Amino acid sequence: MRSTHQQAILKYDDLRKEARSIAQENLPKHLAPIKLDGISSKALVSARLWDELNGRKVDWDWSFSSQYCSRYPKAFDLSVWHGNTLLSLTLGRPTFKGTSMRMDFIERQPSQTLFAGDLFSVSLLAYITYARIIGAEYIRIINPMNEKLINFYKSEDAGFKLIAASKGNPHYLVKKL
Amino acid sequence: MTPEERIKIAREKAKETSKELFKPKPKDVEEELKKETILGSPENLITPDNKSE
Repeated sequence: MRSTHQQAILKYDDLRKEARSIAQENLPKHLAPIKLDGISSKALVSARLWDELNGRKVDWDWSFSSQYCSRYPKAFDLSVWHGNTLLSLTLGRPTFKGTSMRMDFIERQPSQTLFAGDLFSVSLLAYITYARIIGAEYIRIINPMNEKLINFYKSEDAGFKLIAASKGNPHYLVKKL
Repeated sequence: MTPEERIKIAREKAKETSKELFKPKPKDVEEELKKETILGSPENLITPDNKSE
């Protein structure tokens, strides 16, 4: 691996940690017990246990996340924990011009878990914080499929706009930061 | 703007952003957020045709 690429990984690793730390400090009080981290080997082991829980909607294998962050040094990986219980994983990266931060996908623990209704917002807070740190002007939620949630996020209250799919790219919700 | 300056701004804005994100939502949205376990797809990671992405 070229040293400049390695330097970029290390530089952005510091910025990822900073973003998670700031997001963690600004969670509402009722979420104080949860902790934010990257997608570590511990997180990957915990995610594999989700297969044994009822109600997992997808069979996503999260083990590619380390390769992804190596390929895209500016990518942002997030795991959310309550004690030793993994609550959710999120992965995304900035657009190539760096003007928007993409939240590409999230999965939370399939069983009814503590804080279940807050976990998408936790990811959004961390992604918006990271977007500001790297100088992105927009946050995007890529390819959301849940109509009720799309309608909520594009409401005046949440302030996102829905952009239709085009040129092989999926639809997404976008908001100026 | 330096990374340090951007971190400072991100820190200053995080509290307000948190308030916006965690303010009470309509009941049906709260219920949907409790039920839904995924958002997006790993297919989003495939290098898109549009190079600006």
